[in-house]
Amino acid sequence: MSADDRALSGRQPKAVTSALRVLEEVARAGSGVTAKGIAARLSMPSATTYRLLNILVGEGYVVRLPDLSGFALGQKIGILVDAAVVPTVCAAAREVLAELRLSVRFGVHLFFYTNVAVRTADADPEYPPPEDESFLNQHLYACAVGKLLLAEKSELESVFPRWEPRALTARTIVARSELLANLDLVRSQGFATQLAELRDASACIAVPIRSDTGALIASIALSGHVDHHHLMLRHVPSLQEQAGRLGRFIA
Amino acid sequence: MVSGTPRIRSRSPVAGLERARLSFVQVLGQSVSAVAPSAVMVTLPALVIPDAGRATIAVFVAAAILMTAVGYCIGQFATRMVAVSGLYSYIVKGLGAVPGFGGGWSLLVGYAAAAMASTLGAASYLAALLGRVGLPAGSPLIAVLAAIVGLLALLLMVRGVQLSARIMLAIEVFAIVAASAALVVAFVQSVREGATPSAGGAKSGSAVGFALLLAITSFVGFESAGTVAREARNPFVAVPRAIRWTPIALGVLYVFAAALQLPEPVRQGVDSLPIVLTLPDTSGAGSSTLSIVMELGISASWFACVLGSTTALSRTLFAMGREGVVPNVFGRTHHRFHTPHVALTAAMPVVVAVPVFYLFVSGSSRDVLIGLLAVSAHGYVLAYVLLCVATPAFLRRIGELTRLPVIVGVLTATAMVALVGWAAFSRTYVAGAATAVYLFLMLVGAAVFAIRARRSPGIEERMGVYDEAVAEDLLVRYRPWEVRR
Repeated sequence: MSADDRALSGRQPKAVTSALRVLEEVARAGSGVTAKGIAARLSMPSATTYRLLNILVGEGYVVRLPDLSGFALGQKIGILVDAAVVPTVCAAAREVLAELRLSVRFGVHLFFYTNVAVRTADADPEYPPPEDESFLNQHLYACAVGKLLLAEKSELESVFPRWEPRALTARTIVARSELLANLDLVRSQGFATQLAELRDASACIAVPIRSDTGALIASIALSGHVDHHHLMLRHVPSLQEQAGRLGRFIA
Repeated sequence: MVSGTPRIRSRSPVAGLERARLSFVQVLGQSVSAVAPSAVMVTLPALVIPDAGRATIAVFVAAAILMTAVGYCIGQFATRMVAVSGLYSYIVKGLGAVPGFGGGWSLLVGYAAAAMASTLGAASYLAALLGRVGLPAGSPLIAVLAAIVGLLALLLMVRGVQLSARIMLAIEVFAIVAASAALVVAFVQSVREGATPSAGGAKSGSAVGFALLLAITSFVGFESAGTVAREARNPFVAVPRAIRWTPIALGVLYVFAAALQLPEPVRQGVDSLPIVLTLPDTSGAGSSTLSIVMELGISASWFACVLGSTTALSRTLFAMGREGVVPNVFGRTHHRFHTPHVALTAAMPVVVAVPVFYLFVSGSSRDVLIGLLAVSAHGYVLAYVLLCVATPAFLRRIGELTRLPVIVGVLTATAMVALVGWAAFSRTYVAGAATAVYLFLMLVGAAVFAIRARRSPGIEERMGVYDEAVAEDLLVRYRPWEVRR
């Protein structure tokens, strides 16, 4: 699809309103609702309803069930759900983090993951992370927690529809092939690093926390000065052990 | 899950094929290359002008309108299901298993014969090109070239749908530009010599009917975008759009080509043996270079048509293999390239062998080409008629019927049937042999179906597979804190 097709046009506000009402009705009626049912409940002309449904299906917000007559909400709605959920960390997990913070001289942070983004769940109050959540999400390729997320994806395109990275420091990885090699390394060693790629002086190590099914759900990150990254790397085995404990509380 | 909702599978019945690979332009390339418009543009004079005369332009406009109506009907399905076998699954969903199989088999015949004709077309034009450097043109050379063309096409298609789609598109653009350039030059030359549009009137009413049927066959293949739906990005948008625009764009190209070829001198020597527009000798020194470029363009276009038709053929066979209508082995995909390699490898030798054998028997590549294209046209036309009937039936079944699809579907189906009848009365209608071959192949299909249906009962319920929604496409049982692959 060309860039022109993707350009949003806001010229038909009525159609947008109607489409949103159709979407809302699918959500309310639950999976299996038919086009006719939606048209009747919204008192909308059937031809209009069918057309709007087909557009919503085309975009992935709504899914046609295998009998072809029923509809359900599609995965793409997940983006809206993800944006609304708030990370909550239970007391047991907080205790593990407090313990960890006492044992190391670096910042210890807990991040949660949605399908395409990193969310700060519990940042170290004493040594805060080098950048805030939205900055990390815009530069996933330049931070350790972001690289863990990217390493989970079979295709970078699902997170970056267009690959146009910005060099934040001299060491930021901007070449696609170099990033892919780095992600391979992340997968094989089981943790991600960021060495002066986000900011000139910062370094970070992120260790994944996984669910029973092996899905990436969160990570513990260690942040510090880049000159101390060898010291930070020594903590990887103990971080992995703590990640296992945290996994039981979080998953 | 709400009770009463249909069972959701965890794996699509057509899993194994690559998903979300092709851009809209590449999907369009699949449709356009299966039609091979550049070849049609330069073969128009031999095909339609003798019968339709000055009515040629009107004939092409009418054909474009009719095909756009068929495209509208196909769009009703393509916006609702991602089928890898295009019209076959659509007809099954609309009319049921038996008519669906009839339409699907008919389309297989259409795709296969089109692929065969294109293989021979590519080989013949390459032979003509090699003839310019002194190689002895003849059936043995054409046979060798056909085998090379087939092998090359097979390798490209097994290697991946994206690669073959890219190549198809590049070739087709080059071929259309080359054909247009040659036509414009020939036209300008003839006008400079003071020629005026001299094509006579149509021979008779039924001749126009036959010309119209021929014109329709120069659009067939435009529906094949539906066969790469799973492999397309945003299939519900890209596929209907490709199917909606291809007949219109083709109509414009054909009318343009026909208008340029109406003056008599442009057509001189055209309806002789080679199906190619040969520039008049008076065109000057530039003409032979232009002829070579055009011949290259046409060979390339035939090659793209081999790719386009065989891609559609293999996806249809693949779907039938998954259902068990043909042996299940056809439903396998390559573990690395994610293409239906078994269906492709099984189809390609047949696609090469049949036209080569036919060529050695008949001795004339022109006859073989016309014969195969006639058989192919039969296959497409029946599938189109069934599809138009299936459209309102399908929409009614899923409870989304409105007035327009009924009107368009019924009118288009009626018009197509009437047209075939009209053409059959034409004195120029000499498709007797092709019709017989087609009917024989349909009987073979009926036998295959009868045997498979007896061997595995319940097959009729499994027919019409498409890339249906699977559990991971739905929001139910959604976990927000989780990264999916």
